[in-house]
Amino acid sequence: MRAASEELSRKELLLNSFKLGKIDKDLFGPTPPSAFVGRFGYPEVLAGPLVSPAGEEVSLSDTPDKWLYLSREEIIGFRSNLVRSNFKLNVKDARDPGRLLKETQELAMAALPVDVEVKFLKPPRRAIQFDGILTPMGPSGTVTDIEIVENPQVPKKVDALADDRDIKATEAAILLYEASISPYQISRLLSVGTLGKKRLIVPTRWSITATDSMLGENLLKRVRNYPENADVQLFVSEAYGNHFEILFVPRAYAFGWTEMWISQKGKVEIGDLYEDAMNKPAYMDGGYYAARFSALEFLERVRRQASIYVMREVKPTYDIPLGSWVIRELVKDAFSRQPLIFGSVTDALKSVRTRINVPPNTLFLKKHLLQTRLMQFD
Amino acid sequence: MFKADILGETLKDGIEALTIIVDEARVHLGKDGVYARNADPSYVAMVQFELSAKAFENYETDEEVVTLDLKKMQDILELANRTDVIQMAIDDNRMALSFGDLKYTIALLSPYSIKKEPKVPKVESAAHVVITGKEFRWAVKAAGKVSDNIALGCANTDFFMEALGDADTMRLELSKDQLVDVSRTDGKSDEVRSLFSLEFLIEMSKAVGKASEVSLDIGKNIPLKVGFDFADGNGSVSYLLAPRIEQE
Repeated sequence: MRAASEELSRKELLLNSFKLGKIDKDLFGPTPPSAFVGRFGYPEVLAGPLVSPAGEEVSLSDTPDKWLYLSREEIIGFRSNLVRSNFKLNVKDARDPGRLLKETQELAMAALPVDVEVKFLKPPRRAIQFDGILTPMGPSGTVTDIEIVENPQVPKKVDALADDRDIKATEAAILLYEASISPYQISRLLSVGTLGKKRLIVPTRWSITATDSMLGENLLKRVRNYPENADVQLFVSEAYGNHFEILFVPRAYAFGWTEMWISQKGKVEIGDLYEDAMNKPAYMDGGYYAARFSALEFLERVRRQASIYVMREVKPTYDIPLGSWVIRELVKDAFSRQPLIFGSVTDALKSVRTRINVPPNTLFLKKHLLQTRLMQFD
Repeated sequence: MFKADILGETLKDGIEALTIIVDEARVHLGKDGVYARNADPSYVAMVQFELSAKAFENYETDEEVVTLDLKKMQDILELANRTDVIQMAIDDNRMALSFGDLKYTIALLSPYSIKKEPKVPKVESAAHVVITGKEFRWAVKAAGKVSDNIALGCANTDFFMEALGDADTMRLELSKDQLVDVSRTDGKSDEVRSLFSLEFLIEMSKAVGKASEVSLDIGKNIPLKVGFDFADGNGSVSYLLAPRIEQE
């Protein structure tokens, strides 16, 4: 638990976290590696690597799968040290990349930090932005030149798939995942246009959700063939004002997602989506697919299928969103502990409601968990 | 081989009764008439359908089982009048539908394209209630104003339909003398009730609404059976709907 840091106000937190001093026009230093593609102006977008001033430790700065036990100050701290360089390009430029894009693609493929030299048009100003899907983003500036100054270490599988122009991007992503490349790196590779037949630059926000959705879909193909989970199980996790209750019910695979955002004034905003054999979610929601991916990873590991219901309560203390990794990693984290076992769905829901306030008529409750099937009455 | 002539009204009503549960159905063309039993893809609802050979103007069959694209048939039959006589013929995996000067030929579906016939669950109801189709349709519509589910129940021989929304409620109570018929099949008098999704009941009530009488078999947290006749008593439809679990 990180109670101490959660008591800090937003302003104090930002003051404590922010370390970067004045930034020069010419920046030399490591990239974790990391690259960002914006979505504004699509298909003409801004893209480029994220680079820290020399001497900074960046090996953790772009690996959210290792962040869960860090404080918010630490996370915001090392993210605010990364300076985003921007150059404009068309998303189709991935088919015939110019020099700046080539350098960006090459560093994005690396497994370890790489030293880079970037020249900005003007010295970037100190700033930081937060988002529900994206990780916190530091200062940015228009770049005139990017040069990698050391040989990046690229995993063999990444190198091979970046060279392969006959394979679809989805298939390439699945092969990378099966070769134990982290989904965070896969999403980065997809974003900078290094995968697939018809290469495209993909805004980072979309590539994160696309990766969750694609890899999840691939896991689901196998999960659908596994036997049903034995019990009604409830997994719980909480960090950064995000509380998760994850219910597994022994039935055919279906996935439900309800999030409850509680404002400072106590108002609750609700997000409510589900999928099953016949229905897809009504819209593409980043949090939904992040949670679904982690839940499917778990089912694949235990070789079971189930109807899964992820309930997320966002407390007013989560006033600075950190990105969708919080969802992906907290759902994963819940599975690292023993679940509570219940005799029925209604008993499990009673337990959930002692901790968070889930509405009685959410889509997944109506369509699945509280709707019986005729074959139950044989 | 199957050849039959049927009144537009009977065919339209029959197909509507089936499409409330399924878009595609496996249908038995037997010596004595047509029979079908199909469940919706989620197994929440099921329809059992019978139409006697007597309902047809003319009826010849070699006895076969076919898989019909009901939605397509329904769409085509929109062009037919209720008073038209419709000629049907099935041969070589195709069905011909003729009325007026029009003749349609549509492909039958592969028998493998749909789920096998569902088992009919054994349901021992506690009460048997008969009300008019109009009244049932009206009550279901009324419930839809406040909620997305509805409880059907009986206290002694008083029948009730109750909808509980987030803030609003609706209750309809009909005592023995307001009903066409009511009896306790379990011989008891305590209150029994089950909760159902209105989504299905609203659809069912569209078909049911045309019938003069509807029978409802109700119990404690068990599937509801909704039965009615059509085609002057030569056709019968019965729906089974699985209940929702009531939260405390």
